[in-house]
Amino acid sequence: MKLWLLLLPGLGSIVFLMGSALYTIMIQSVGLHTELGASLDYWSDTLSDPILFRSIEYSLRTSVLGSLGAVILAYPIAMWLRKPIPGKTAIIGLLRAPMFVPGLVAAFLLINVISFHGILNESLLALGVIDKPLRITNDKFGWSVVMLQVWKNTPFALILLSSSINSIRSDVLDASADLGASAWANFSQVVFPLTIPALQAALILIFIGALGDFAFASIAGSRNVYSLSVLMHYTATAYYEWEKAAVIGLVIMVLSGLSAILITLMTRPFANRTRPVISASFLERSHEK
Amino acid sequence: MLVKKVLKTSLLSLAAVIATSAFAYDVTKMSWTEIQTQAKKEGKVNFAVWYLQPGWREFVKEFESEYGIKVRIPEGTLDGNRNKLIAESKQKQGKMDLVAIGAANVQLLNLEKTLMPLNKLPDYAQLKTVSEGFDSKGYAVTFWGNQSGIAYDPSRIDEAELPQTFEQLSHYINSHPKEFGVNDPNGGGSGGRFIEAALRNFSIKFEGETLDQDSPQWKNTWNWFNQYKDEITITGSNADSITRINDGELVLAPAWEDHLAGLQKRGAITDRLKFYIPVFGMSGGANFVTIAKNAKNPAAALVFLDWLTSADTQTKLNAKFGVAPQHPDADDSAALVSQNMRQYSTTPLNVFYEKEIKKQFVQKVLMY
Repeated sequence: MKLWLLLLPGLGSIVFLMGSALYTIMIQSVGLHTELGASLDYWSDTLSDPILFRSIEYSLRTSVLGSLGAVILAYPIAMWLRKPIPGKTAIIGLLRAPMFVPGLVAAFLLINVISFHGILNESLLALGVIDKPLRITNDKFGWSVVMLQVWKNTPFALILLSSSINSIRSDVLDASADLGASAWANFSQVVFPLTIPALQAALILIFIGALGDFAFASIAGSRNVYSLSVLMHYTATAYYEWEKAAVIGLVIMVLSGLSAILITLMTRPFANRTRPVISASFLERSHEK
Repeated sequence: MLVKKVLKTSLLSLAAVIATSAFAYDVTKMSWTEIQTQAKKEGKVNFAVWYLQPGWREFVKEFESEYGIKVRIPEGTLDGNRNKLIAESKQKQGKMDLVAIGAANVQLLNLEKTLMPLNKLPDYAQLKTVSEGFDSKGYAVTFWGNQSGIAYDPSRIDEAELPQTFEQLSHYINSHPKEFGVNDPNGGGSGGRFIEAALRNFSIKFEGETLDQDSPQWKNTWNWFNQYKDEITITGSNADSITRINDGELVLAPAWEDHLAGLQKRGAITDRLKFYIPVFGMSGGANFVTIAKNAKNPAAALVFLDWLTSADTQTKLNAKFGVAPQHPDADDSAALVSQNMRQYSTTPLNVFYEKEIKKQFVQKVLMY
């Protein structure tokens, strides 16, 4: 009994306070709060709507590319920052700047840059690359959103990956270099496997944030398909179908959970993989000499 | 001794409060002169309007200096103001005096229990109590006319070439791909009003029919949109459409008359852009203004409402915000469209169609 009481402040805030939002949305998704009573119709109607699946496809596409782009960009920067370079603190500060720019502001900035008479089009016109401005705002694929996700999340990935890379003892890297590992072999077979836990954390957190993104999608996103959050917003506020909006909300949560499991499962083998850093043929050649 | 003095002062104060409270007089039984006198005693009034609040605060200064009645314009949304009005209607005295609402909102209110009848207004006979097919039964009058139409850049299209029929519009879209824009109806009303105009054109007689999604009547409209979908630019909102015309990306796009005029008057966009109501017709309407039945300052609210809906103020509203005047004697020469063009203004479809139009457009066109 005493043990439960001790757990109450921490567990209670999760189960009762934070959990209450989840319980409410679950209740709402089956219409328990309505005069019509509980029904699974909201689930069946929403899950049979092709619009939902187009939104899922769009949101997954932009969040997979956005999160992958952020970590792919963060790795070489983190490796570079590992070395002693002049003005390192200022560079790190500059690289973290996107974290302090709200998503809406970033989206509007991008729209201004790529708009019909924005800086990009005007520059390309001036250089003679194009003869009339390009219509690239709110592209159908979602490249603008992917770009914004990468821009916004790279600093976050950089923080996680840098701390992990910096914690690798230099004698480990020196050893692999002494044994003749190339820069790529050093990264792919030493640094990468050792930073998998940080990579998992970065990918999962960025992906979940990107999957539920509203700001980027509503300003810079495609006008031919809604992201899941935008669809949820309109379902609730434009169609007044709060039960179906709750279903979409739960779909976002389930997808986030499943994606976290999938990312963990897909990246784990890289951490456990044991392979010689130097190939057997290289060793044989060295021995012959 | 001191207790007695405090008690006496308190009782006197209470008596004074009761004497001046809303319950001490009934404005519906007072003459207009008595209402004006009472309004000055009240000395203040609040007007809940859900848009352009900074502009309104500036605009009502003239009333404040003329009548000596302070006007408070609180921040708030349409839904928020309406819900507050409903919630407070059960109280003996609420905090709201005047409330602006969209035309369709009158059907959500228990008029008799929530609002004050407005037949005390000197100009009542000349004011409109019906808007967009919704009858306020004398509990609300129109004060802000809005008209949907098409905004265009006259430097890129001659007036004589403006599409007036859907046939002409189809031809224009074909010959000028991506230069005609329509905003997502979920992001702004003008896009919805254009879709409504298309429904009127391609799905005649659909009014009164069931909202069967597979109805051939509706299908005609979605087919038209899908035929030209790749050549039409879908924008995010009313403002997005106007911004893109301003920026030179679009030449034509559905818009609201008052929105375009307001942006031009604030210098947010070029004065060059113009507006027209096509011959195929686009709908117009007007917002209502009401007074809460349990208003704290009922006399001041009536005096303010009289000023707001007067021919002179409506002329000034037209000049400042570009709205269509609601008083027959007002001068609308500052409007973006002529009186002659207003003949193409249609009545909006029933509000119940609005949601279905948005949903079907998203399902059958936007994400099809």
